[in-house]
Amino acid sequence: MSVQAYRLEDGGRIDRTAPLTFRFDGRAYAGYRGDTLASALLANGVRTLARSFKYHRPRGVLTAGSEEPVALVQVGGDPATTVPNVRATELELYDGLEAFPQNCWPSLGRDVGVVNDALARFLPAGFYYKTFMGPPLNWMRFEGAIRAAAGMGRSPTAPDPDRYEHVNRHCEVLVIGGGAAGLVAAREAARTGARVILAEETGALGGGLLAGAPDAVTIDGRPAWAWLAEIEAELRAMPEVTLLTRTTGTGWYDRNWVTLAEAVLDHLPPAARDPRLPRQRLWRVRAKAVVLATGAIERPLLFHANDRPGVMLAGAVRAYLHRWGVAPGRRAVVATNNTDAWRTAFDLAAAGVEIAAIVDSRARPDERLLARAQALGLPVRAGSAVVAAKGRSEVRGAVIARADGGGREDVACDLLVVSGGWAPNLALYAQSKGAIAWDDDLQAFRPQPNGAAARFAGRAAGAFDLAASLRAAAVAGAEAAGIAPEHVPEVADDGVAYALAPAPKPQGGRVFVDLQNDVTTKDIRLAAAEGYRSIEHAKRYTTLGMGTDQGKTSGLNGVATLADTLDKTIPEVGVTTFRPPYKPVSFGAVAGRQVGELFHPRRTTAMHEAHVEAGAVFELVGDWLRPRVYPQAGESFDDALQRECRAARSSCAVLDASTLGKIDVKGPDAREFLNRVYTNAWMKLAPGRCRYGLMCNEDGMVFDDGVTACLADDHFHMTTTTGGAAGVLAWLEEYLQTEWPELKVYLTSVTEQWAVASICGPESPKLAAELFDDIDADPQAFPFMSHTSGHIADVPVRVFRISFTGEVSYEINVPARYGLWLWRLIEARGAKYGLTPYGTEGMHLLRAEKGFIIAGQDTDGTVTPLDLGMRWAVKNSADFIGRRSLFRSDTARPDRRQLVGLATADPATVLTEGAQVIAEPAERSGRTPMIGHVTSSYFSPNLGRSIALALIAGGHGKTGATVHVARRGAAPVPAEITATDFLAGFGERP
Amino acid sequence: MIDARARSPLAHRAPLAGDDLRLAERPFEGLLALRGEADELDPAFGAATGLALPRACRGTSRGPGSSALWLAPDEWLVVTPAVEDAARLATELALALAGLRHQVVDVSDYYTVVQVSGRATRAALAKLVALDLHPRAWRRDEVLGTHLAKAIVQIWLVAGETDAGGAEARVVVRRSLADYVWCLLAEAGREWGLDPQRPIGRVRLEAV
Repeated sequence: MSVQAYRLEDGGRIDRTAPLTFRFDGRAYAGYRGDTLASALLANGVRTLARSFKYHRPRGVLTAGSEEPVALVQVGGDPATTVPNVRATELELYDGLEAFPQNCWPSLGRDVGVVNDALARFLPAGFYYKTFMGPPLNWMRFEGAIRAAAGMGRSPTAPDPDRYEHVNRHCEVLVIGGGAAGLVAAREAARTGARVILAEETGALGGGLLAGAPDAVTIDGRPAWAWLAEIEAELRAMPEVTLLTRTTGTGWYDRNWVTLAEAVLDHLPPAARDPRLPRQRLWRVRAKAVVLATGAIERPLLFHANDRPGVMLAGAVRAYLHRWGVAPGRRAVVATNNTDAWRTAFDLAAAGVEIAAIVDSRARPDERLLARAQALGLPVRAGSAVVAAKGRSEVRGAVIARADGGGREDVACDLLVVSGGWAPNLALYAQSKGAIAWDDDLQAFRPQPNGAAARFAGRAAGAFDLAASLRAAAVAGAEAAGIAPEHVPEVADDGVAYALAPAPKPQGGRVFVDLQNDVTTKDIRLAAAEGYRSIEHAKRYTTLGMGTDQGKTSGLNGVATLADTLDKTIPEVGVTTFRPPYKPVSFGAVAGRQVGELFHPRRTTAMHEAHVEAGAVFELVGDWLRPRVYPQAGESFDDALQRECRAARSSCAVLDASTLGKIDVKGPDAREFLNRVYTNAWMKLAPGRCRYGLMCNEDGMVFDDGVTACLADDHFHMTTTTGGAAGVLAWLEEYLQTEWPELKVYLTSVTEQWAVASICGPESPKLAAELFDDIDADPQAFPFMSHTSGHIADVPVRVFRISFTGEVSYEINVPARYGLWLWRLIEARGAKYGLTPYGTEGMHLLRAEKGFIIAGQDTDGTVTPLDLGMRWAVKNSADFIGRRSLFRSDTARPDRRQLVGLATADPATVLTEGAQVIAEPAERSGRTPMIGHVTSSYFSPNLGRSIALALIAGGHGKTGATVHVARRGAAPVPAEITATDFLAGFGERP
Repeated sequence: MIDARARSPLAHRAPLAGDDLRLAERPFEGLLALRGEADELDPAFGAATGLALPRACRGTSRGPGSSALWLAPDEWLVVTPAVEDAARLATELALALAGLRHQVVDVSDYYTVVQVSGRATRAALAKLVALDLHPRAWRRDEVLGTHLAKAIVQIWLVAGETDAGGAEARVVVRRSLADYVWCLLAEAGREWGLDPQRPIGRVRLEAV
């Protein structure tokens, strides 16, 4: 195991009493609790962590946070739990952690893909698109090789065993960012007693203060880190304040609905993860006000080979020094255009790192900085810039030149610290469509607050001096809670005000703008030359700002490069659209617990247990689980179906019909209401009687059907299809509330109040007689289309003499708590009559034998009652929904597709549902006109032949004609057009 | 007296208890859907139950026996201790309200009631309900009509944190969705030690 040669003797917020071991790229290393993978690797002198996406160039650590573009690793080797593209700069170290480099083969050190780098001039921007041009087979030929060579991490290949969950929260003030500014804003807001949620992305509160010495500044007279501990304790003591660490604001949606992704367990070794907790949570927060304390992101500098491992941002280097006790080099060049990076030079010097040069593009840096550098003996090159990094695989030196190109010197170094200035981190704000504007002094976009919803604290507000930053924070926090700020912290720092000059322009060579996607300045110039002059187009053409980092560090340099190419200003070019998520969120967190068995409800009837015991095969109908058939041991699906259907017509069968929609319709105008929503007449239906009804949309097309019973003059029991139940109720309510508010009618769903066992078949009257306490089951005394109430073993029942099979039927409704009991009672009493449970498949077959339609199967929203041959169900006496449409020329034309029966010439041939019907015996090549299609098709055991229903153009006038049903890869099947009731003339049918 | 032939929708689920959270079904409570104009219904409803109909959104009226929950400006859910009480009340109301535009429907079997109690009541529900459940926003005796994951429910807070016995909410859910809601609530309660539950809808869907 290597020693931590770059670890400082002391300092950092790591626990030196808790050494950890971990593995990277197959080697074991040591680190400490509190490290990130990046800090621990840097401490061990490991600087190359990855190979780049396209050119396989070695890449190291650029940043110290979630904006990291290139230090991406694969965590864990388990195919179910491995995580790709994890930013090593965010990954908290735990004992036993194993991480792998990405996009290299056979190893990080010897990567054969590096040949892409040598071939770079053949892989320009837009290469991807260009492969689509020219011979069409180009892409086919190259795709595999391109996909294999380019890329990032590997997705897991096995199901994710971890749990994730959602949490909904409401608060008055949501603070995103747990740096000093976020903490101050939260404290001000919380003073009012408001509910405050503060989300901090990392494992510790403190933000930028943790990237400075513990006493670098004093706040309210306390050294920075001591002040942090105090304000954290203060906030934790407030009951309405929720402090969330390891929690990132990922999306800002309409009306301040913000998503926060919390990594609950990822920082712990797997064995130490509490099995009761989810791996990650997605907080869904509705906030009255949002304070963005998201800090700022540092901008890299553009020069030749600026992607070499060892090139690091100045703020990040300071964070490694102070937060993790790591000096990422021995001899550093610090290149900058601003005051802030000088602090890094001073801190590096204080940590014992040799400063080879401070290179500032400004001709006249701040006097105090110069004096300090002189006092420390640090060489300064003012009015100069780094124009190239040296070193074949990692930084070995820097080439410095004056702005006029003269005075070139090579300086040896192993750490090249860069800073192009800081830009407020406004990604979330921009997602919320917040306005941003270019600030020339800041050389960055700053927020243009647009109303009360968003407020800005700290560097996100564009306030880069701590005192101003915390003042903005106090104001933002207080105003978010509707008060004036009370406690504005007093700050004492080094007194050097943040100032910067425009970033120096690159001097040629291979200058990387987007390190993650290997986009160079040359690529952007090429895009502009080829006409992709909008930043949005250039982005898509070059992939600038895409990928897992979404251009957090590259965006501004990309805009600047395009602006320079087009001779425009940065604000003229503008920025690309910001979209959620701010950083990658696992699919698991997005899905939460509504996955697998809990993805979607499956509704069960009161008889469910009996169906399961009977070995039913189920199907989903409108979310309901309905038995489809009940295969017995060794019986095929088809055999079971045929047996069930024979029983229904020869002896006795029972169906669980509980799922049918049921609506209680009550009120003095109930009858008038029914008359308006059904196509047929309802004014004369007497209490105790039932009637079948069709419902049409305004366009005259059938959308639901069912039987409605008259319970009393002002009281009806309506049934709907299973799948249509909710839609029908909503439709009826809409008409009642918006079109006919004068009608005195109330509707209440009673679908689940009643469990329904429907018995049918020639033996069913005997079974019914045996069941009923006080109802005469005789079909003569209790005629078809009537209903009554009574009891079965003292349990109240409502029985409807209605039938969907054409057989004598009794639809027995009981309060659902008795549903299972009733089912078992019917099974027990019915055994001697050959009682057979049948499922939905049998129900479909039986009703097709009788020619009864299923709304949604034989109709599809283009079928009128007349098309169905149901003129008898259309009244002339009064208006109803859809009536007017039935008299349009199109709905009245004779060649509409009309419902007919089909009997195949060969009785054994069962047509395919959905098959197209043609008039000719053979298909002409590709041009045969289709005259209709098969809507239902079965083999009827009771008729001993196949039957089908079809919608055929002008079908009602073609009875007896032969049509042909097309098949794939076989000759069309001839079939004769028949009436729809195949049982007509077969025995007693109601 | 409960008829042994009757089965509640969650009869197959035993109560669950964790550190700060408990789940149990309250089977066979009587439930009535009541529609009408409050002013017209109130005299008869008051005479039958001793309660006034709640007039405001979220409102409830609680008596020693029955309670009334506001569902909509012209819609209430009446909760009685037992199914028989609901049937009796339905008959009584139907007689008293004859001639007035109204609807009384026994929905005792349509729904069941799941009791969620313990210190984590609000936190567990907040994993499944998007409404604000903070004590300032959802007070004792308030009922909220909402979605619990994909199920439409009424959630009724019958006791707050400061009441003896701690917080207790009741979830009124359709019979067919009760098991789904039960499993989700148990899953939400894992954090407080509830055992995971597997839904009964986990059956084979077999194609021909």
